Amino acid sequence: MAIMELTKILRFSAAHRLASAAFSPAENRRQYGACARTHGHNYALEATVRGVVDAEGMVMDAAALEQAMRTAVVDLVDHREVRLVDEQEAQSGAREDTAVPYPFNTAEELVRLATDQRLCRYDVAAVVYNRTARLEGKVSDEADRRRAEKLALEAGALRVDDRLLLDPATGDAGRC
Amino acid sequence: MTGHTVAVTRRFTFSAAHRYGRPEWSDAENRARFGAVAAIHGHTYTLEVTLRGPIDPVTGMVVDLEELKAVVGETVLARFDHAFINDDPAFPPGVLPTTENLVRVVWDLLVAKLGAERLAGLRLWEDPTLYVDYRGEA
Repeated sequence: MAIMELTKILRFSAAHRLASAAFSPAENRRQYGACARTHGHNYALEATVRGVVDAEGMVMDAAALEQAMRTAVVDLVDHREVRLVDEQEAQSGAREDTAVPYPFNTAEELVRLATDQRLCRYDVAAVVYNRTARLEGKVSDEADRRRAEKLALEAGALRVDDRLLLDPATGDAGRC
Repeated sequence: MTGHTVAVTRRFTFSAAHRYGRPEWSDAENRARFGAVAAIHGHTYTLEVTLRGPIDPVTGMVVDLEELKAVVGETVLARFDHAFINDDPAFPPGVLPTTENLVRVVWDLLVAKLGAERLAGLRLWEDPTLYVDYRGEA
């Protein structure tokens, strides 16, 4: 069995600033320095999948990996300002230049957006507003429900809004 | 300086053409499944060869890079540089010339010359955005 890792790299550009709502403007300048001003970076997102090479000679179809990275991350943040928005503003679509609906701001938190895709193993979609993850989809039993909630919390959500349906016919394979 | 195990990586490049397609499918079916890569196209591949071992107390080297260049040149570059990968005997009809399959062929060629105790890993880049890591059979 040949096990190997396939890595795809995509680049995107986004703007952000580091500022906590708990601080005054002066405190934010002191805490975060130049990062408290709106500025931008060229980011590189590297996604690695690991597994057995299948009969087609692939760990995963590289085109499907690229599409997943674009849908889950790059299309949401490329040439946008990444900042906190509330659900009302996100749904109004008023700020097309702002990355919505993701409330995270630092590089580490952007990476968590990609790891949310682990949820698709349970056929669960996660939408995050103000750090509340709304989980929608089907799971086969209570254990899967708890696993999906745990993954959402590990991915950075503070609270989980569970709208999952129990369906014993739903397999563990989910959509991925 | 003895007793230290060090990994040394050298990078090589070669240019080759390939296409994805199943022989039992029509051109239209292959285009539907594989998209643009069903047409003959080419890449400049980058092959990173990593060898691991103790530092030789006399030469101060883990591996003689001239030896490594000769081995990779004779076994890999002579075979795949400016070649059509689909015509290679390792890729008969039905074996897709994916980066995954190509790195396995390259591994088998190099491990026969360099030894499994020295060859620590291969990273094969198809282009600057896509690579495969392989460290031999588990």
